[in-house]
Amino acid sequence: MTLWLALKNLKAKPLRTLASVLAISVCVAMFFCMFSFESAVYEYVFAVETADQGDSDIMIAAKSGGNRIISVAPLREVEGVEKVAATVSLYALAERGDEPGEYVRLRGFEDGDVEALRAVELAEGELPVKSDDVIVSRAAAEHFGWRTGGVITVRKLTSVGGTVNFYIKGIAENTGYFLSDSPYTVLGNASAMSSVMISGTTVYNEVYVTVSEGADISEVRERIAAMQEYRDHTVSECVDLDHISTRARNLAAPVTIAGAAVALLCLVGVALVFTSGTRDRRAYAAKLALVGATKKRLLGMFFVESAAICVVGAAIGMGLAVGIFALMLRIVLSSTLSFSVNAGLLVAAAAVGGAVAFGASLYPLARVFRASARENLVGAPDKGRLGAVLTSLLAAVTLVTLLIENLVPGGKGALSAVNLVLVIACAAAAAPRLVRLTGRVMTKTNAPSVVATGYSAARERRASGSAQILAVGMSVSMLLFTAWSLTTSVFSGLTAEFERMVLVTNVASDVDENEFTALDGVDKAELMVWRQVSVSSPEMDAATFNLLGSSGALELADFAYLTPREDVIAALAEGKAVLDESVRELYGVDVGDTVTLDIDGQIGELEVGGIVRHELFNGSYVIVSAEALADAFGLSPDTVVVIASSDAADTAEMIRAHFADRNYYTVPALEAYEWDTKSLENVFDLIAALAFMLTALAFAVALANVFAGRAYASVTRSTLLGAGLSKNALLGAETLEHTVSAACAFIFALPASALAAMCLIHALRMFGLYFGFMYNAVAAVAAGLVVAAVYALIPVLFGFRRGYGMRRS
Amino acid sequence: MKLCHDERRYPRSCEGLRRLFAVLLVLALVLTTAFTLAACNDDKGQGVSPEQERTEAVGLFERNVLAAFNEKWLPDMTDDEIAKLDAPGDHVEAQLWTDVIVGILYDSSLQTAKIRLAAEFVASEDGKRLLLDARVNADAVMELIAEVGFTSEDVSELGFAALRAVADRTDDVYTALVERLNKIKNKVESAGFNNIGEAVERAERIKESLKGEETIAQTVAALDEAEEGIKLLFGFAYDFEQTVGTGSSGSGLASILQSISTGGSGALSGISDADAFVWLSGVVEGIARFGDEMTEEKAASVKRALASVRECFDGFAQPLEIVRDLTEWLGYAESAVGEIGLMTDYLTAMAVPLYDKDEKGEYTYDLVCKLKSLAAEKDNALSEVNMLLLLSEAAYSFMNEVSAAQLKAEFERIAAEGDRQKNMLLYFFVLMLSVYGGEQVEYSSDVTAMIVALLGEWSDVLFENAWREYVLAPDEVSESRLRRMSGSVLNMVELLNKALTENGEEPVEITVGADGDANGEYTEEWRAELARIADECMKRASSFAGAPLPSVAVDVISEKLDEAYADMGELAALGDMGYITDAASEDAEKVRELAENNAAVKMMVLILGVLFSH
Repeated sequence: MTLWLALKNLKAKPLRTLASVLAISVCVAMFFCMFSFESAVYEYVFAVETADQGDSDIMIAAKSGGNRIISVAPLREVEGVEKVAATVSLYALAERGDEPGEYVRLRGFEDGDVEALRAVELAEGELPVKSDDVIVSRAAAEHFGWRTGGVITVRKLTSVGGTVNFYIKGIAENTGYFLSDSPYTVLGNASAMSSVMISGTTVYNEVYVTVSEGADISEVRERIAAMQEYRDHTVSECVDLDHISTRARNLAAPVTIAGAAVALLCLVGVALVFTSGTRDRRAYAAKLALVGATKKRLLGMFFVESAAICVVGAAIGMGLAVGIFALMLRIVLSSTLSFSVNAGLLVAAAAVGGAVAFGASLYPLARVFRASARENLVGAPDKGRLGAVLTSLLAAVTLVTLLIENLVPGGKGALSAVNLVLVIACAAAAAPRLVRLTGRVMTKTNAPSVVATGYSAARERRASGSAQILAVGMSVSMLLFTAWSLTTSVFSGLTAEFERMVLVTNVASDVDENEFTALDGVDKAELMVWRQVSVSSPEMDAATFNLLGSSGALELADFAYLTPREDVIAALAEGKAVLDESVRELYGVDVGDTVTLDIDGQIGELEVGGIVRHELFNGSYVIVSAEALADAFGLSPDTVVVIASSDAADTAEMIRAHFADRNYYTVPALEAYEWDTKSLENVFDLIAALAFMLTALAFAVALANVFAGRAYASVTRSTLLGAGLSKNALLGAETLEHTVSAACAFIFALPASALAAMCLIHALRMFGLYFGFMYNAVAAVAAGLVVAAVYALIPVLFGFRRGYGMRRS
Repeated sequence: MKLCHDERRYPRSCEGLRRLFAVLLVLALVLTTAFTLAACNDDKGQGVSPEQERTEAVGLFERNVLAAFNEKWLPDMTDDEIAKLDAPGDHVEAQLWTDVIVGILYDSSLQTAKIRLAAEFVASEDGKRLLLDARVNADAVMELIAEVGFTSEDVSELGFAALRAVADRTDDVYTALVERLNKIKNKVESAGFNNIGEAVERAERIKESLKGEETIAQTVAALDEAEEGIKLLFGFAYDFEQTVGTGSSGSGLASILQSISTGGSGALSGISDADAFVWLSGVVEGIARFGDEMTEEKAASVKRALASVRECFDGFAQPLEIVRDLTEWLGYAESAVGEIGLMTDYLTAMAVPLYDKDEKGEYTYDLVCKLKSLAAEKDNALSEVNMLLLLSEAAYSFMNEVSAAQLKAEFERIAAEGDRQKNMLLYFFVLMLSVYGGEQVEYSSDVTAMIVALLGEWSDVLFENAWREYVLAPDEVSESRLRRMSGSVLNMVELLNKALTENGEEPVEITVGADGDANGEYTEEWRAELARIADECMKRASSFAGAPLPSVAVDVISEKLDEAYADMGELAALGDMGYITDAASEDAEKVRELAENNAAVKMMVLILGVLFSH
């Protein structure tokens, strides 16, 4: 009976049921995305970072200032080595008919065994058979217009010049080796690819070693590094888990937080949908009570009703979760990404989302059981002060936690995330109060429509409910729009710095920078070390940083000097390190402290000599002079950073043409970090999409609330019309009511969004990200005003006037 | 959108409008899907099958090759079209051989795109020039192959297929040539008619000079048996040429060394000594690997096959000069193939200084440093003295690895084999030792006999060339040359007969004259008889001194080897000398003295000079 009644009730309010189910399913989907996104990003970044080496443990590669080609035979005799895969890796210009040539990466395997490191997923054709057969990725084939059976012509890197042809035997999917595929990679036989560089015999410059089971990777690495044949090569472990974690975290953090915001909003939406049906429930409960239903039975019925909605919502949410998750991954990462769904996390998300939604749905029931049957039947308003007390208490708690967050050292982080929710909750709690207060004030005026509005606002649940929904929606959407505009403007500023930068790698350590500056179109050229290193300190766990190995790095970007510039320059000259402000803020590392750098197994300690500020690499960079690197680590410069006077792409092309006979890899900086920049852009686009979506969702929920509430107010409208209020005046009253709701929501949403932005920035520290406080008031106000304006005009836009008429109660 | 203001009043029309809207929506969806699928369907290149593409590529190759010879020549011309050509006979012959090549290309594992590239290259000015040169010039062949981008795998495969086709199809080609030309003879006028007539006669003569079907079948069978070994040989030869060849086809060891020396350019310019060591040791290991892969069994089957080829083409008037050069090369290869293992061992023995280690057991890279410096050396005097130093080191290293007794045993084995080419090499070596030694040359009977043998061999080669030219184009000039060459051979025989008679031995019977057979004609029988007389002359010359001449040569060589090994101690100090930077220094003087007086160094210079003489 209870079940039957519950289901009948659900069927009687299809719109509300649907809205609830939808909100719960989106909530569950968002929970799943929050739980799973970082691990999925981690897997993807892991796959990208290990795309080249497969399951290998150790990589031996050419070293700038060291040896360039590698002897392979001695490796097979080393204890602990199970498998050796020798390759040659070159960058060469692939001809494109009349168009300028484009860099491709040639990767040749010993005996043409392209699957030595990982399997190749062929889309068409076959694996290479002859020594000059190659396979390329689908993306490369599309870009260059290549097909199976076609020819790739590359320019030789020898002093005599000439070209070498390769013949496309197959086209592979963009997985495995081709996962990031930037520049486009051509796989083939090492003997044919060596001939691009030198003839006579096959040479190798990247060798991958798989260690025997049970052997210690670092011991084997040290054994190899100590051998004469490999002493002047880079011998490193293939997988840098710290670096992968850092990259994954940087990408996942903004999306996780945005997803949390959406989930929060959905939960609020669920609560509000249920809350908007309180009057019906009260009436229904009263009727059932009058015919003899006990409280227990009523409770059971409502529980079943809520449970049914939550279970269905959770089930649909599980299905939706996979789709939304896939969409998010493909937007942020790659359109060819394949992923797996963790069933446990999916069930957990469904359970959590369903449980939280169930809890939210029970809130209105408290109201039902607190009032008497008669009060429920007539819908008497709650005159209790509990709401006011709760609102004040919430505001007090929020104030205290905000003070703790900002004044107590170490307060920023998890508490910031909690404060983010509390601030928005405060806005949601306070906005209806202001609506009622404003309503009461308006009833004191003389204008009939204003008075009517005042009474509606003061007494009807509709206006305050809408204000509450709008307060939450506006706060979150203003926050997201602000975050979007700020991150994109920071990102644009950052890319503007990189726009004229060209990276020339694979250079000899004694290359003359003047060779580059002598070229037209080159403003500056700085020879430096440019690579990734692991940095740690007593205060900070090991993290991957980008090493800018030259004092001239200070000229590459517009750093802000927290330590005076002269002191920074002097510190670099003394062999000290310069770090970003974020390291000080996040970990407390400051001038005078010591940091440990681990560069391919070479460990050294440097004193921190200065602090600067720039958004470069999200603050994960360290500047050290080339001399200090040479002394402490035996590291030689390997990259020339060129600042172009105009277009970086044109300058890069000109450099390639000028140094065509050398194995340089010349690429505009933005293109070198295309994967990262594109991923970040995708993240920002996702945040923007979420912002728009949330705004629309909040608006939709508010709209649903309006229409649901209007149904009950039809008698009131008829009464007013009957009392002589004109249709225009009534329309004016409704519009004014909407305006009041929107204005009150805006009044609280604006400061809430500012505080929420501060909490968000502080909460990002949990992910190791540091940003200075920034708030784009223009974006926030604009977003809020648009929502408010549209909400205020709903009566006009939806033609409420047409529906005015006398109705019987 | 409200289609009906009042559904109560107009229920049916509202329902109908809804249905119409639904149908339009579905139709729009279907059409959009269809367009999308069509747009996404990439049909580019799918219409042509791989077989069609390959047929087109070889067809283009054929077209361009013929056009390179004569721009009026096209594939598959009709009889009437051929009849109108200036040289219809030449066209038909070129067409038939091109068909053979095209068939080889089609059936090969060469990528279709490579065939197309080859076709396009042949159509270019450079390609035409090389193609025309390649008919007579082996270097042009190598350059053509390198320009198109053939790999050693391609060269192995195509080289073997071409050799087999020449053995198997020559008869068919000239039979077809004769048939076709006879068919169109009546349609041709004036100059073309003469050309056809000449072509038919030439073809008949070529066919006559071919061996019988049985011999040809045996040759083809031997080739098939030795396929793997022959391909290995071709591949290695091509790679070796690319590595150390100084022709325009190869990068050349010198240019490679220059590119890796200080001041060079290219991707490996200025590379470290360790890198240069890795590269050089790779080259040495490649040579050693080839030696290991060419097992005794493989070498024996290759030798048999090449001997069969030689017999098959003995006396054959090979119309294609390049094929003649190739078969000549194969003749040398036949002699050398059995020694590949030994030669690769000796080469790697000479390369031992490359792996020199110090007391700690680490490589010193001394040899690498010297090579790099030598490659970059601009001073000729310093180049010369340092080259001598390196040769001396190589000689010392070799002598350390291979004892005099071992070497002598190998020479004796070679002498006992009776291989004509190897014997010539022995004689040549002895003569060079005598001449280069700076000693008074004593023209003993042994030496005289060797000179005669060498001259005889040389005359024989010239005679065979003259015979070939005569068969291909019998005219006054070629006849005159044939007469002269056969006269030279007979003069050598008469010289020997005089010496034999003086020694109380039976002279070699001369049964033919330089003017042809009894009828004054130059026939295949006459040629065969003359060849037999020359061969007998060579054999009798070897016994002229009372002992087999090859053994005599080995004795001379052994004596020189003993001298060289006795002076080995002088070479020991050379390893400590670094790169000489002062041509007037004591070290430089010491090296020059050694080069003049040390037998080992002299022999090393001689050997390398012989090996790299072409």
